[in-house]
Amino acid sequence: MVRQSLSRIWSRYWGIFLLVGLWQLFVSVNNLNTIVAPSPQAVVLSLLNNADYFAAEALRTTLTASGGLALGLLLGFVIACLSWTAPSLSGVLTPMALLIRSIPIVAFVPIIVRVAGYGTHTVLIVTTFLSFFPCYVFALSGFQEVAQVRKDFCCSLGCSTSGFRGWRFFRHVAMPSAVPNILTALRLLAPTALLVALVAEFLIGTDGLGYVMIRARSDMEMDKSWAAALLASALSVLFFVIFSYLDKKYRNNWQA
Amino acid sequence: MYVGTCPVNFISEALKWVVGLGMLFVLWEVAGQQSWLGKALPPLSSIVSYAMEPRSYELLMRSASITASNALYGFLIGSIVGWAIACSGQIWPPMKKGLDTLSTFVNAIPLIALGPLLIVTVGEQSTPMATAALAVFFTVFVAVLGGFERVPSVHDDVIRTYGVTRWRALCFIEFPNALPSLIDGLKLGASSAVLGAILGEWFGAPAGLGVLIVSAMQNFQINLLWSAAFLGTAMSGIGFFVLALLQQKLLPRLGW
Repeated sequence: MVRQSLSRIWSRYWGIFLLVGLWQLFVSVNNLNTIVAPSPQAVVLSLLNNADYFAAEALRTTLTASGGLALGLLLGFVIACLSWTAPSLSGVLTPMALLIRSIPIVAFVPIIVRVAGYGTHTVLIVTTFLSFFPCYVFALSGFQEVAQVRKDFCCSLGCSTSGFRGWRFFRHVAMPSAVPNILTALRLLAPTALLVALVAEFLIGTDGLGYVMIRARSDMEMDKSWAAALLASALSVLFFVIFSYLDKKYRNNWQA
Repeated sequence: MYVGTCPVNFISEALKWVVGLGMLFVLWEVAGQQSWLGKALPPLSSIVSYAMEPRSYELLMRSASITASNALYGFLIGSIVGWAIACSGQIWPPMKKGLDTLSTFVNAIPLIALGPLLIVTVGEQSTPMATAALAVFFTVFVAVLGGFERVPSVHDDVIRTYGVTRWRALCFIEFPNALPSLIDGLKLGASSAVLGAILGEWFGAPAGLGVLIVSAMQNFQINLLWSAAFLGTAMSGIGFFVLALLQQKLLPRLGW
């Protein structure tokens, strides 16, 4: 029993063990001191010793990232609803959304910082801005991908399937059929939202994990800087796992 | 919604794009002239005229060529690594699960958190290349794996009946089947590579668009900031375009 589960863990996670092993080896073979590259224990110790501090900063980053994600989702959803009723709006917005999707968003974080000023609200704006367009595109394509059979059915019952008069069709058929699309958008966006929040904190330099990373580095506290990086990675993995789980769990309930 | 390929549809589609982008540009120009968002959003015309000045033009081009070469090398390394990991999982199945977990984990680590690590391991000079490679490898890995899964089950049966070795199955059946999906992944990877290179240049690289962006942000050189960000965008756009062209021209010749 124990051996079985051990071997299962090994077959799934050997890559990660290998990574940690290589890290330890790299540090001890080159005999590096903590200022250059801290060892795994040093990083974990620093994480444990400053647990309160790291927890507060991690919470702050998580809240801004998920707040931005939620705001972007809400905005994207509402505007997608409006676009569905007024197709000319989608004609104008879709090219913009596609264009912005192909932009290396990180290159534009400094610009948004410049426009919005230095502070936590800017981190929120950046993540909202990032998540808005993908949410909009995914939600709108979900609304439009309603199965033809359902459309025909509603038509035969005398229910309008487009424009303002079709709101009942929208409410009961189009909206639910967009749920899987929105879940996919969230799964794809969650780690990116965290990355962008970290980047913004890194550049703005007031608070959050991204700021801890750069601050500790300039103070030569490498173990602290790496601990923040490790924590950020763990958070990102957690985000990814949570949203993948939600996607897997609810996708089938709403499949169009 | 593409209903056939009638020219009227195409023209109306193109018109939507022109109107959408035109409105964006006009809005921008007006917002810049009236300075609605303060000095940080200059009118489009002033950005263009700044970028065309000989001195700034030279600076921008020099930085852009450095970033382009970083992104290109990173793109090549990343796609080869992603492809190799996907293939080795296919050749030796016991490794597959661990490789999946490892890749997901490495992908979930925010690139910015890897900065401190990469400076120590590969040096400041090659950090942009490494971040670009890291940004690319996962999309390629996922795309190739997705391609492997799309091998028709008939082919699988043939492989099994004839007792074809894994290596040959990979070369003759699985890899050719995964080609369209690989090119899709590369297309997405093009913009990630530019993003990775720009991000990597923030960690003390001597020159490049990323360096330019950060220093322009800190010194309030708004025109320079915008031009550099636009150049980065153009670069990823060109990469995407070239690969899309390749996809259109090359794949039909290979029977796709």
